[in-house]
Amino acid sequence: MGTQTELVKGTTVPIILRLLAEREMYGYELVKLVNERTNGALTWNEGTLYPSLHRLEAQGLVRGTWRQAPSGKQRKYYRLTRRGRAEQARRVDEWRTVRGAVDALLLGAVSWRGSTT
Amino acid sequence: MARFDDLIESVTYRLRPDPELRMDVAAELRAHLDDAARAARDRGADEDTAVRDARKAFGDPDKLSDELWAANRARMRLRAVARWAGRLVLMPAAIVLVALLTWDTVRFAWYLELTGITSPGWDTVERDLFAFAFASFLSDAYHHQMRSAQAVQTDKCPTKEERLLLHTSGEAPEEVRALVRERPDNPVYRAQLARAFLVQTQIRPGGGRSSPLSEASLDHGLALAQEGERVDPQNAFWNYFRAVLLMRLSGAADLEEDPDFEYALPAERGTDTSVGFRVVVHDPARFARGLAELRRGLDKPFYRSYTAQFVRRRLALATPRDLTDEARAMAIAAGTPLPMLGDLRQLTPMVMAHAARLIQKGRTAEAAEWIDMAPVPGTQVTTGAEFLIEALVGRHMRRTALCQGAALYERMGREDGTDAAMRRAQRDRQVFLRTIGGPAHRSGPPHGRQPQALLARHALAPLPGVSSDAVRAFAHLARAERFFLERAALGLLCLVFLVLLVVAAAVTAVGLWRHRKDTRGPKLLFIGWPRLARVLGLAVGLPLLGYALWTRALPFGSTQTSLVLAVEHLAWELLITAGLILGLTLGLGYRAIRARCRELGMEPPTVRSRARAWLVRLAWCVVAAAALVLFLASLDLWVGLGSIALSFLLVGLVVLIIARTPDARPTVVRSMLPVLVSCLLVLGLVGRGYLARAEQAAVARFQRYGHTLLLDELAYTSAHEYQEYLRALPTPGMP
Repeated sequence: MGTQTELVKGTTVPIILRLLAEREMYGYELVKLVNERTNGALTWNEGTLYPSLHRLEAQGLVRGTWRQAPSGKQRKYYRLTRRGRAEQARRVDEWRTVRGAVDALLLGAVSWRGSTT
Repeated sequence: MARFDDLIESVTYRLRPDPELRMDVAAELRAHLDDAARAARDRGADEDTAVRDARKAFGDPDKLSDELWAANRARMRLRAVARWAGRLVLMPAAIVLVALLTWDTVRFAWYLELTGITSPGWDTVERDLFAFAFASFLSDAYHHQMRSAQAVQTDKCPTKEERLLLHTSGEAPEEVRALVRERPDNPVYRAQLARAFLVQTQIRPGGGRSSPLSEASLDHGLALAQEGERVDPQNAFWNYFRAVLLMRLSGAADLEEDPDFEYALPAERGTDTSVGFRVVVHDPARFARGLAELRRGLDKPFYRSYTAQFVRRRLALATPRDLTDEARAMAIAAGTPLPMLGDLRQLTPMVMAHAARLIQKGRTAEAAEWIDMAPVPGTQVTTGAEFLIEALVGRHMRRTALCQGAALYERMGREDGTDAAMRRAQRDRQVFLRTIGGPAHRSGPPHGRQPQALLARHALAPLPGVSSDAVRAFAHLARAERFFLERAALGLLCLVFLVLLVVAAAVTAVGLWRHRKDTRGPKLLFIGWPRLARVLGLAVGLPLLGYALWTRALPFGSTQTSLVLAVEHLAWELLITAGLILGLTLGLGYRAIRARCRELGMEPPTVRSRARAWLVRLAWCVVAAAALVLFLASLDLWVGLGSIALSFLLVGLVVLIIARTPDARPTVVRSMLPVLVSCLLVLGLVGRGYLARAEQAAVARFQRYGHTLLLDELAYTSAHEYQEYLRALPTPGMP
């Protein structure tokens, strides 16, 4: 469980940025979407999402705006800023590189530079 | 959802230094927990299970609290700095700005007082800076203003030369005389000393008769004239100056009507007669010396008082920053005394009375000589005139000499002389009516500056015969006055904003004091930059855009209206614009803060209860009625409007302070502070910057034309044609 938490922790920010690149969302929507798309494989402590969002907001990568949700209630929607989009693309590239390297090391099938062994 | 309150309280506890941020985060977390619990309930869980599951999924509260604090720490610090900056910089900046703008309003009030635009004691034709400049010698009010302007200007002029230029009364101080001695060949300064001397020894405009001329003063005056003639030998001014002094002190100033000396003016010939004077001479020797000086003056090639040169130097004393400065400069320049004119007017009837006395004594040849020479001083004064008033006085002297001369020739039985003099008087009259004394002059009071004053009233509707330069000068003046009025209105509007700020601060202070022992005091909420930009754009930008279009661009707007023509009209335009700005700022600001309250989970201010709403309406109706009564009683627009505005503010203040509202209204009032400060700063800085620069440019353009017109007024009217006619006449005694 501890290992899984560490892994998840490292992926929180790229996941948030990736999901917000699709459309603007509020916190609970993000959590719901992660659960839906991963069939519960990624388990977030839901509260920890907000410090990440606030940090991203402070860094200027996302912008939060209070708006009325379809339910009629006020929700704080987050959307990527221009800098956030660039960061999101950078993070995806970074993830590809890391994943290739880890795959090469753990699975041995494909070199982390993309060539077969 | 009260079941999450303890969780949210503990999670956000470390954010308590920033109450708004804490509320913002709490509202966000509460929404999340509500959604999670609702989802659990939708899956079939009961209420307790749903709440428990939501809390569990939320994670460890202590850890989350630390993470939230760490994530928001930088932001909290930044916001704290911004809040302190707002208190320490923006509020004082707003106060300083309002003080500056209020000073503009005060200066504008001075300008109105100075030019008499809103003064009921002034004739309508004088209600213009230009008319003001030209309308000297008209009223006591003018002279009062001129003296006060002069006093202000004197304080600003440290040098001896500047003080000399402003010196107008009596004995010149030693330093001034020393300055004249340093520049012995400067006839302008010498003429100024002579004028200042005469101001003290004759009937002053707007004042009473001063003490009789003493022997010592006479000697001083004669010495002045002698020095003047030494440096300026071709000018008849010095001889006439001496003649005036000698003849006045010989007792000849005691003119009394002579019923036996009837004469006719060209227009009255055959229908009516005027009465000449009898001269009473106590000191014949001195009178004879005066006549001798007069005769010497007749042979001089020109007469010049150097008034225009002097006025030009006075105008150059200061560089006006705005119209009030310009009005002061013009008041001082236009207030340059022309005391010699009054004495010169009396010279002709004295000479004619002397001729009448010679006829009585049988010395007809000598009398005829004086009768023929009598029109010369008037002709010299008119042809050498630099101002319309001088030309008119000269013309009056000439007309008196010709008409009284015709009567005296008749008394001597010389019909040829009578006919010749009357023909010349008739011809003079025709030319005069065609040039200076047109219908505009005749319809007004008998002073020569009336055509300009009328011109000023119809600044944008040029009269026939007026040069385009004059029209252009008036257009620039109208524009400058409008900018100045707008600057004054901006000052008043910003003052109202400041009063609102003070009211809001007072309400906040009362709220904080009431809740000093709990956390329910009014909070300071920031509506966010996008909302603030929207409020500024809609509440400030939009009305100003509409005003600019109406007053500057739209052909059916008020682009051609000037301050002198319709001050009330312009005031209403500004009042409506200011009302829109104020109303929209308060309305949109209130809406934005309500929205922010909703975002933070606060109960937005409720609509007032029906009874209280009626109470407030009733109070405002009473206040409005009182203001209306005040307005009708005083018939003063500004008093009426001012009292309405003040009363509404006072009622608002009382209602806000005494109201014990359980909802978020005090928070709304406190949160209005940054909105009001922002509007005030944007309005004040941008508005004043633009208006001050535009006004300076308009004043500079007006000066370029206006000063030329002031200094060379004869050239810009048809009066110079009358001068040319006189110059072309073969006049005895004139070279």
